Amino acid sequence: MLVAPLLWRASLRYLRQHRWLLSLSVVGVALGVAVVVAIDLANSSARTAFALSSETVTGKTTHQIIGGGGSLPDSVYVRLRTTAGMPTTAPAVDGFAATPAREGLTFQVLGVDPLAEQPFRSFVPSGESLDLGQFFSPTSTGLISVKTAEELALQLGDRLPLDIEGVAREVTIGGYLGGSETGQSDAALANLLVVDINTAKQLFDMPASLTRIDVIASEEEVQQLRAVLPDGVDIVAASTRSETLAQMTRAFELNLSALSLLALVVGMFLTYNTMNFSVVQRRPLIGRMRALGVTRREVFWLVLAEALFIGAVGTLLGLLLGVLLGRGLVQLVTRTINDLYYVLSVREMSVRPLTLFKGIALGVGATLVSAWMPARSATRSSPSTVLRRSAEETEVKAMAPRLALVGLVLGLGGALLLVAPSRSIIISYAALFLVLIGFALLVPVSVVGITGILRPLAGSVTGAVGRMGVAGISGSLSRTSVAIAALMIAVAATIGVGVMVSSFRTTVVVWLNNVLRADVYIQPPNLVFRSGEAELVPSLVEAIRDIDGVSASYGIRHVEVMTSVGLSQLSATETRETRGSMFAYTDGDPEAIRDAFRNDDNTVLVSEAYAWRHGLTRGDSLTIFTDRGDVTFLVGGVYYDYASDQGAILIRRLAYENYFDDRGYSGLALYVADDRPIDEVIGEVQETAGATQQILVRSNRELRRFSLDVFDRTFTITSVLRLLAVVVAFVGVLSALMSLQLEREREFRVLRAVGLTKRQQRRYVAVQTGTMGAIAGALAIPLGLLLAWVLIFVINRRSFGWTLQMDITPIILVQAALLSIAAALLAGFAALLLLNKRGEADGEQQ
Amino acid sequence: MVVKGVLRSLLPNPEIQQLPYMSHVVLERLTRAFREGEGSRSVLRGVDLTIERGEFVALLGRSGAGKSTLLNVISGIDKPTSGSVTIGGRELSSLSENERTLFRRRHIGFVFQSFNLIPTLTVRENVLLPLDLAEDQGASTERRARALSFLDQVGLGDRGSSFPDVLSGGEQQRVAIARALASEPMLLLADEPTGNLDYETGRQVMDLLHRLATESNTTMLVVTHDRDFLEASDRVYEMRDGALHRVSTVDATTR
Repeated sequence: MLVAPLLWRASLRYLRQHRWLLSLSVVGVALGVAVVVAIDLANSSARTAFALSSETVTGKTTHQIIGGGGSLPDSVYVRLRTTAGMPTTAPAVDGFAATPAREGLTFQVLGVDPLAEQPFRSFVPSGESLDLGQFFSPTSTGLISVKTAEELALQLGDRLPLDIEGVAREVTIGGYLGGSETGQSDAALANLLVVDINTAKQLFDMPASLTRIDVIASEEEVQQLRAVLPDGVDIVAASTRSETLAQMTRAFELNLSALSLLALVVGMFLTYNTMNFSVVQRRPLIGRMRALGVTRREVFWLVLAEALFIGAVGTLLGLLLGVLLGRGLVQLVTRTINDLYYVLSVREMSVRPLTLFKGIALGVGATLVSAWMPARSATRSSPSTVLRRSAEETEVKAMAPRLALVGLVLGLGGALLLVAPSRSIIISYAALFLVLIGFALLVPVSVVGITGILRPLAGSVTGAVGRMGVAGISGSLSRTSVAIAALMIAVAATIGVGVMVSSFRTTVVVWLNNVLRADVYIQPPNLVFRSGEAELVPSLVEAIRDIDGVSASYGIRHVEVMTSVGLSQLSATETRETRGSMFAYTDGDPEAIRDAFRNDDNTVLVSEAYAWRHGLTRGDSLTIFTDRGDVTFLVGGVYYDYASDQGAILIRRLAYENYFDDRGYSGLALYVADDRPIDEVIGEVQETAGATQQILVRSNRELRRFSLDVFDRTFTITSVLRLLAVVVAFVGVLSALMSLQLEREREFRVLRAVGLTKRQQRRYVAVQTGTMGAIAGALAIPLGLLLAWVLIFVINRRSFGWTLQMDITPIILVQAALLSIAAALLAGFAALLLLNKRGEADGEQQ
Repeated sequence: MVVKGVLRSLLPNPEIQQLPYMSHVVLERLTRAFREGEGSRSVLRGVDLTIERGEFVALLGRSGAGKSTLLNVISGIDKPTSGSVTIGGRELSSLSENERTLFRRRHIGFVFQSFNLIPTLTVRENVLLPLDLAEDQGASTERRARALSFLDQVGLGDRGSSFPDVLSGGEQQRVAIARALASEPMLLLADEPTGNLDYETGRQVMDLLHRLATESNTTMLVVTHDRDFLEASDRVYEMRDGALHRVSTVDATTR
């Protein structure tokens, strides 16, 4: 046994006697764990929902036959079915549809051929009678899960309204998906709408083509198949697409996890402070125990066991809180994924054991790590020479320069890691944490220096009480420096993330000013804001271009294509002279790049994020799988672009039409003649679209505002995490000040006895905590700016490949400093209030 | 090696049983110096002393003479600068800090001037603490009962579930005596046990300590200035200039 039961009992009673500190420490751990668990739950729920829907749609499919431009002709399927010796195949047409029946509900529509479907997927129980006649009928009929039907109050024969890329459609509910025999869970089927393949073709307006052909084949059969496939058609593993999509969100998830860890690190300071306080306060007691024969090792384990207790209770609460918080965060994460990456609907939160295990390991581990030093310090309690508090503070003061030196070494180590040529985000965050810890170790020496300067100043302004207040900060350095460091880190995180977001926003505003030059922008509604692959009805495009007052226009087409570096977004743009200077390039002569792009069919441009992600530079070659087969293009230039972190390939429209059969448009930009009011043109465009297609028509200004709204929305979750870190830090400061005041309880009573008024006591607390907050705020500003620099130029670059301009808004710095002082003052007075209440209760008892 | 050492200090020492004629406590040319600034200050300067089993030795001296340092060195809390401390045949200065702690836990009882009870443990728990530390709680119910019987003997059998802060100073010191004897130590060290008590209470405590130690044949070294105590002791020494000087009569000490 590491700790004798009676010692352990004595410890528990001690903790119970200091239940305020115990509770604050538990809350600190709980909040830290809760944030980590909530983010992990949100991420994993999104991942599980995605995997579930991919698996459901993929079924037993091993490979998929796909076309260059995202679709392939029906004839390919017919040819495969009529050729002898071909493996099992099934045609599929799929896409997404929103429904006006419920806002925010998106169906994955899967069009299948029921006769070919059986070996691939079983959505309907074999015993159920599905009226195939009705399923095949010209009336669009669809199957949805029982649960979804119940939620939408739909019964067999009812009509389900759909909105596909702005065009209103509907299907009749012809049956239900699922049931125990199919082995499909409700969650997997919740967002699925299965229709006959012809219905799907009508819905997505692709009369003679398929999205893909599903195949069940061995590797050998795949080779056989590949030999008979025409140019522009390829066969890939069924997992290719889902893997690519899953890959997209990896950096996003990792950055969220790292931010969530910040709350835990701040929580660690809190536990350190509590354990340190309990050790310092009990030094004489520990000395007595040592005299009675308690070994150093037993003392060490005793302190660690107490920390473990705090960690365990905090972690348990943190897990519960994390699950609750996760429910809110999963919505934010899902919305961001839908804004930026792909259509995802998370209907339920999946609480994985791994997430809980991670929470437990981090919570308990962080507590033990933070208790390590106090436990070691406790073992140094000598049985013969019981250290006095003042002796210990002298020791801490003497240690301050050494700690600063260690801090400098850690900080330098972190800095070296940051500038080292690596693309690893994990290493970047590890380096960032080293810098943070390094900076925290500089706090004691800074506090001694700053209070040395402030002490006479405080004395002349607020008298002896003020001087005492400031002197008390360096007098209890072991306690105050931890509180200041915790507050400094939280405030620095606020500054760092704030400056990063504001820099990002400023860069995006400048970029939008450059790229948005037309007067009116038209696009069909897209389920994923940043992808924009929805198509305008072809007849509309010409009609809109012919509107009186449209002096010029250019169209753009976004499609997903397979390339030598994986699935990529290809944007085909009509080049106009007016667009000439739209892009800025990372290197090379802009004129030469523009000329090559305009005149050479085999030259493409790639965005900065795309180039970074795939390691491409100007002059490299990139093979794109087109309807004419594999075509190798020259990367003519790399342009700045902040539309998507996945990046895109830009191709001239004429070249696109040479290599792809698709003639669709995803968006149209109009230049309006000077004599025609823009609003009138917008009205006319909307009138032209009429009932044909619901389209989004926005003026230049509206589109900018809308883009920035989406930008702000994607950073909501970052702001929530930043706020949580500040809450944990506040608890930390409160706990530190509570322990400080507790230690001073006797001193305060003596001072009160010799005539210190309550007013003076309040002034003392105000000067002391206000100064602590100001020191934390002052130190947080350089650290916060450093953090911002790392986030902008290292982590953001390594995560997404974007070049951002650092933009320091003074208001962020002022807010942070005020936040720091306010948090410290608030915590100081809360501690005073609690102590006064305790004092009154003691008085009544006596 | 450490494990071996720990085991060695935990197991009953066969030499203790085999060498009944050997002096129980032997201090030889004991010195202890403390660093002070650039130089050092000698507190113990060649202390020699032997105490037989069951003997009751009193130690007196002025404040700062080195009495507490001597007790610390004998109990293994502190290590001598030179010389040796042998208790029950075990040479303490050759043991590691951990081994000395385990030896102290098993074989030495301590009574302090300021009682040093653990405030978060009840009276009963304080008394049982030495056995608990030695992990003897499961081994011998009889021993635990015997340990608790000391509580009855100090007259506090009915206060077992009270916490120390509700006891008077005299009561606290009686609990401390019960605790010191609970592990049936070879040697009981007491550092001014009546220093914080009034005369009457101090006398009662002293009587109790003397009676219980004598009944259990426990060797006892007590730092005290209590005249009654000095009179009851087998031998009296005065600590002066870092060395022990035998005092022949109690009167000589009260000059």
